[in-house]
Amino acid sequence: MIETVGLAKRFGTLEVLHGVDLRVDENEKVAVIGPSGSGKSTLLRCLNWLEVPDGGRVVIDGEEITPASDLARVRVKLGMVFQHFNLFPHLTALGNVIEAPIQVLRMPRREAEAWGRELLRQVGLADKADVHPGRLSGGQKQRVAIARALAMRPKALLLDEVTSALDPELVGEVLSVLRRLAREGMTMLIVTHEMGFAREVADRVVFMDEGRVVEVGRSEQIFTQPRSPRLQKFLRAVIERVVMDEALGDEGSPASREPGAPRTSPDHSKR
Amino acid sequence: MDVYRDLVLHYLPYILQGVTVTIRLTFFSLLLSIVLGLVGAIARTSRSRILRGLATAYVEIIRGTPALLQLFIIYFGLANYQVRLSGMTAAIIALGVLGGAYLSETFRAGIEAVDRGQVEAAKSLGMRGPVIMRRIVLPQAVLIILPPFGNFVIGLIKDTSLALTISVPELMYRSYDVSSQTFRSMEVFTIAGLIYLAICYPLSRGVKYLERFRPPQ
Repeated sequence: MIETVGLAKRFGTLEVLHGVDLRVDENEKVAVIGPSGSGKSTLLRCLNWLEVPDGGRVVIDGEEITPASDLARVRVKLGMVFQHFNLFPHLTALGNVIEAPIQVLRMPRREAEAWGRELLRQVGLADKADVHPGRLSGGQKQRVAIARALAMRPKALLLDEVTSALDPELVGEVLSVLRRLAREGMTMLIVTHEMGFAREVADRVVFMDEGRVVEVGRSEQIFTQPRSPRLQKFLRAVIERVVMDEALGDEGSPASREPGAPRTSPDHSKR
Repeated sequence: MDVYRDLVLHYLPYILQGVTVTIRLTFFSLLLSIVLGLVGAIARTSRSRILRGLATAYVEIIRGTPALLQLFIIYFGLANYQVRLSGMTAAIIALGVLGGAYLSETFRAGIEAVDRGQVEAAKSLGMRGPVIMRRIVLPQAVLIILPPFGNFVIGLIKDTSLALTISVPELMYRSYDVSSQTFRSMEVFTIAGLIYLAICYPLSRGVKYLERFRPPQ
């Protein structure tokens, strides 16, 4: 479904991605973890060419993206949810959801509205259809953003640190929506700091550091038997943070609230 | 008070005819300003260096010279080259060119003030450039631009009084005319001032009112 080979990206003289190989199969959920600045978000943004890669290949649904590609058409296949929501402030929640179906898919307004209301119901916001984003909480905004992405019936979802800008008590409502989508078989590429969520939902986990993929493995293996010293160090630091939070009585750390119930998942090691 | 009563009785209709001229002048120079402002804003944000350079030169030349001088160049200056414009046409062109330079800056700032994430979200949903501009960027830019745009319109109404110098019979010209016939300068210009105020103040309140429709971010 999504594949990159030797993906490279520079910002000026700063090399953010040094030849990243990644593969996400249909119905698969892949989490990308790693320290800040390791290139996780840039990787995601290169997939739908919000950032134009400087090298390597991106193949979406069997089609390689080139400067000649019809980007708008390819992007429809990849729903994206952003850390800072990026909802359209001049439109209502429903307006946000139906704008692209109407403008891009040429869906009749009535049909789009019914579809939009159904999606809002699925994310638990049926009663907020006519509310502008400015009057929604962070968790509600992010759920509208998820409904907006789903409105285009994407083949995969790109989730870019979708809970990082949320107050801790609002993280759960967003994760539960994503958990349901995962169960329903949506293909997902999840950049996240929520280790518990990554462990629970992801079939495979990709650990990135300094613009490279350091380790890839099944979620269980990555969290219980990390091989590379850098991943071991990273996980220790995360655990320390969780323990510290708990010692301080902070319920905010989602990792502590999401005991990573391991999930049986198909074995992808045979590829 | 008799002075005012006599002035109002005898000269107000004449002065008020100037108001329609002032409004016509404002309307057409505003149209020209908006067109030139949009073209200028698009040129200034374009990828072409030549377009950017031309737009910048336009803005800087207009900003760096007095409006009255621009008016005289178009009315008296062009006449030397057999381009004889009516006072009204010359004033519309001069004020439109002047306004276009200011509005191009205002429009550019408004478009650039819309968060980049908005465009990214729209792109990620498969929208294309023109749709993104029309449905996502401009509706937000308009709200950002509204207060400076309102101030611009109010400034333009007052600037139309420059047309007095080339004998366009607008509000200021007629007031000057009446004052020189009656020698009641203070009274006549007070009346003219109240008329300008009566036009501009409601506009100013109107802009304030519209600002409330800005959606909370």
